[in-house]
Amino acid sequence: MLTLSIIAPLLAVVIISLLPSSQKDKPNKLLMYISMAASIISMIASFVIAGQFSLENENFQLTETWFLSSLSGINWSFALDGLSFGLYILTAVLFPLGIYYSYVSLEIRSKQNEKPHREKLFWSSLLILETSVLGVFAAQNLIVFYVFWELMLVPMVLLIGIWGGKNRKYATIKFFIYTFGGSVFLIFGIIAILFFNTDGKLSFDITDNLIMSLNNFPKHIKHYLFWAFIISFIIKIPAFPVHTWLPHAHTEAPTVGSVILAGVLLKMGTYGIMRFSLPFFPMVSKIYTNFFMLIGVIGIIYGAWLAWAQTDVKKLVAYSSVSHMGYIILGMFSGNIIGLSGAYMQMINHGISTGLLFLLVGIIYDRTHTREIDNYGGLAKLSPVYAIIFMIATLSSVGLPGTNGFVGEFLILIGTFLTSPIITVFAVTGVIFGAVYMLHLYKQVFWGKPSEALLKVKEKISLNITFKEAIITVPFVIMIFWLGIKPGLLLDTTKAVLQKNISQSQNIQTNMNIGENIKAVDKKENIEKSGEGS
Amino acid sequence: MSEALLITAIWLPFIGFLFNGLFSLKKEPISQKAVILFGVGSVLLSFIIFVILTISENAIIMSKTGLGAHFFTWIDVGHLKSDFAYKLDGLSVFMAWIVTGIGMLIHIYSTGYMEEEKPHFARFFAYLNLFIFAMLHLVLGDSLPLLFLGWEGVGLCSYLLIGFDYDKDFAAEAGKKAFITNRIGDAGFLIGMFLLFQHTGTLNYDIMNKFFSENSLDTSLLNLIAICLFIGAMGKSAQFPLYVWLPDAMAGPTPVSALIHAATMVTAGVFMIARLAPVFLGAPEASTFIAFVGGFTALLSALIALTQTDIKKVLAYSTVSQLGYMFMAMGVGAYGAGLFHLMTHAFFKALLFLGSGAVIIALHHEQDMRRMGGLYKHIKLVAILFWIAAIAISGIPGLSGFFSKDMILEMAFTYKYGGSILFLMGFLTAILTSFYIFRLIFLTFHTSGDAVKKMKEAIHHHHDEHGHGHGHHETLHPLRWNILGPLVILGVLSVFGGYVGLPHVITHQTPGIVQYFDKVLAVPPTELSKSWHNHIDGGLAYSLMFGSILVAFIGLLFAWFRYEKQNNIPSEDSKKRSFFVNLSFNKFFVDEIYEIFLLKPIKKLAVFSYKVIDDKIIDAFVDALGKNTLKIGSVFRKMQTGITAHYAFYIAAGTLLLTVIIYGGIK
Repeated sequence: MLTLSIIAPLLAVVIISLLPSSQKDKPNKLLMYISMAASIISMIASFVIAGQFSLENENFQLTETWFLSSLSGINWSFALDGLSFGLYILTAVLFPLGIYYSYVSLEIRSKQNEKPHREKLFWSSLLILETSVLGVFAAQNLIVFYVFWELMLVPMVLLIGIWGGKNRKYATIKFFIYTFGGSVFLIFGIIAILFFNTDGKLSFDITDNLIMSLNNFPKHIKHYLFWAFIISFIIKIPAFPVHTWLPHAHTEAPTVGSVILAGVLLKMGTYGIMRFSLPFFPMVSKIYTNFFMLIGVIGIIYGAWLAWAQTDVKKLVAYSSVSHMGYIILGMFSGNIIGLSGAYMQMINHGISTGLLFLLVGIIYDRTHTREIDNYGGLAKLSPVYAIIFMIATLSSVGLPGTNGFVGEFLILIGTFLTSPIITVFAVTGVIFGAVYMLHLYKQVFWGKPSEALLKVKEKISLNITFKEAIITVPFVIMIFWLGIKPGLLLDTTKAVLQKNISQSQNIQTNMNIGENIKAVDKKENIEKSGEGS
Repeated sequence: MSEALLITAIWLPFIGFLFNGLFSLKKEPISQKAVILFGVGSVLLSFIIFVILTISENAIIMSKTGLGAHFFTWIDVGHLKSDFAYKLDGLSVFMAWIVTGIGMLIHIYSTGYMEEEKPHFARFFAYLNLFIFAMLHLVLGDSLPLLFLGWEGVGLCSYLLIGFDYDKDFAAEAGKKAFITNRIGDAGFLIGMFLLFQHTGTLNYDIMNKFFSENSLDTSLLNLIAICLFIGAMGKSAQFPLYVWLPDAMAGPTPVSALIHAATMVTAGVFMIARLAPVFLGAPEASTFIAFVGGFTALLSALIALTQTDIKKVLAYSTVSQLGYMFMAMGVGAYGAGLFHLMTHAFFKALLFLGSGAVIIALHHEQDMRRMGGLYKHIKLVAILFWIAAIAISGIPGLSGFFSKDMILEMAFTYKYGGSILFLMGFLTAILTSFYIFRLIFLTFHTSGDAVKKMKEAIHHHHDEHGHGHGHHETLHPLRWNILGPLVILGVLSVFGGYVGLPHVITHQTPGIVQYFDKVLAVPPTELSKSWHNHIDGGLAYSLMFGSILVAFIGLLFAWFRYEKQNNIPSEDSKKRSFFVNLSFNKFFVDEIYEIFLLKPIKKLAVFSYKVIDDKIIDAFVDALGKNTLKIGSVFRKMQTGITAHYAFYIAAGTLLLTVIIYGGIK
């Protein structure tokens, strides 16, 4: 099932490539049907998997192995555990919505005499993207993980570079250099593991054995490795100060690109930290805890401020992502189950709320073709249903209790507070600034008198959200409230694995401390002895 | 059974919200009767259930833990657990009565007030229902996270209702301001909550109370926690320096001002202190701070209320001022008095607001008192009810406000740590209160002015200017039973509501309401705060009481003299104002100070961060890096020959190099 869910989109790409390419004025329905079918199969398969998923199991489960190679250490097998489960499902749900939206968007644009172009490549890119993201989350081998991680870059670059906005070229290059630069570190790290693995068995499988043998590595190597991994991840997140690719990529990407980017791609970074950095290098991450918490807090506040300073709707939402990802970094380094659960929840939350925000921005952009906040105003009067959905997304984004956003933020902050109260006090100001920029946006766009620019657009095309568009947003809205009221739905899936990771890290830390103490004692004795000698 | 009833009572308004909310989306507005059936019916039913529960489960409710009801699990991670579970005890039943009782009256009133707002009728009731739902969570939740859910939920409703006429810029701005100012408070509140969790290991009231009965925390820690939590109260309950949103909140429809911004939501901070009595009573220094913030807020906003000309603005500042009294009471440990004033204030202030709403609606949405006057002749019943409320708030004996305010002033007087200053602030506020409220009465209902005539003139003026009008308003808008009925009930409550707390000097025993709260709160406040107070003998208590009665009459007389006798209607020309009047009229320029010293610098910093730090420094650095990489890349491009053997060589060389580097590193 897992494999089916991963490769279904890829199969659809094969089918699409076999079709003759035809250039028409109207979007090609057949391509959409094929893509939809593939992503829905993928989604249904993921639901079946969800039904089989055991909450008590703290290890990888539902493993599907295809290719074992003890020679290269690269075992092709897919599996899920508590850390990947939520993100996997989110991805599988997000893609059909994004794909359907893209079609609706093409339809609306074709009504305004905009021709779709290079459709086959477009749908193929989306589908390859889906496969690669699903693959990243289902990989249980470092090399497999890396392959999908890199594969994702290709369709994303195409999506921004071909179907992007005016400055797409600049944004694409920036995105590529940043993430590719990060990936170089990652592959170095992965290969280095091979070099230092002294227990004789060649394996890239992510297992407790790997973690154990990693801990026997020389200390400075562990430091190098830790940085090799985490640099790649924090670029992907992105954390301050390596975040500057994000606003460009987001603003220039087509809506579906932004939705997927915010929805799941950024999570690959935080997922990487949770999956590799923290359990692999518990000692080193402990040393840098304060540093990364600081990065997180700066991200929260800085991102929020910059969001406030924006005049472009999409950029505002993009910077809000920087702020939200800051919370996640904070929670991940809290080192306790409350903070980590919160961080995980916030990954999903951000995917839902910011994904929805980008979607909504796209829906209105399809009509107005402007992203300048100043061109908007009084939209609530012109498009009431749209205004309500946007309000719900806003509330989720500012973390109002009752929505999913609150539970994530609350858990992160309370968990972090237990570890470092002072840093949390600063982080809490993000709660204020978050409201500042989102409500500023909402007021400027939706309240007040209808702006002239909008009234002009209204003469040509109805600003009201269509039924199809509304349907796409419904799953988001449901998830916002469902997770807000019953967060256990998600939190219970991560409980076992987080608990295991935390105690494992603590064991390693205590063992190491004992080891170091012994060493220190030895040293002391040596010194004493030498003292006696002289 | 009673658990199920309790849950039903809390969730009924939510059904009303869903119904009205969904139907408000329809293009054609649904029938107002259906809206009323769900909107008002749900709250009415909820109130009835609370009455039934109070009677049938009285013994359980009045016990320390109260009647608990577990609905479903909410957050459960590690040792953090918070559920949708409710606690109906002596304190929360008191609040639930006020919230649903007054809430119901105001819902009924709104059916009249909002009648003409046809397209927005359902939306209005949806928001009101949601508010009641959130407020019930605030008061009935059995843990702090659930309180916070209600706390922010009512904030949301407040935001939506202030911005109800969202196409008006000032309403939109006011809504945003309210939400953000409240968020500042909430940030403090969150930290207080975290500290509590860190040190008690729980956020559930019952477990926390148990913890406090068995352990004690360091006083300085409790002080810190109390201050953090109080910052939350400063936002929600509009205390200095976070009170600035409440006067602007008057942009919302008047029933909203009465329900949310006077009777219920803004008292949440007072409730919260009572709910966490073990924390606040264990924090004497923080309590002193609270008392002084309350006293200062009371005085400051009363000074501002003196010169306002918008009838709702006067009432808004009055609310801030009265809330200040409540916090003064809580600060000096007189929880009974504070909660008593919360109740009486809910009665008379709701009456004042609804009364002013009746005036506003009768005058076809005129709020400026300078264009009123002489309304007594036209709407006698409203005028009489207004007089009742004014007498109640000013502290003239016999009516509700007298008893509660007197109790607060007495407790402030006996307070050991700066009690005389507190008393003085409270006393001055009392004079000012009496003056501004009777000023309002005279300007609106009496004086030689004639509101009806002014209204006609204004309309003609309007015609001249624009050449068109929205129909002729030659007569007052009629007021029907659904507007007058709730007013009469609130009038009765304003008269008799004070008799639950007859003072010691009359009955020679502790006031009933104080006894009640000493019994039902987690810890008895009177006993724990006994050492904070000096003893007061009967004679002194009497003279204090007469003192405050006297100032109430002085305020009344002065207002009568200035506005009725001298007919001194405030001028619209700012040059004619004296310096102090101008200061008060402009609200001591607090908003402007915030704007210049806080808002603008932060916004500038934000723009600077974006334009300089992000764009010119970080991004420019990255771009430079990228360009150089490309240059280096062009060198490497020559290596891409396409011949497999070359690549194999590179790989081998690279691997070798890597090996050397890494192994070299070890040694």
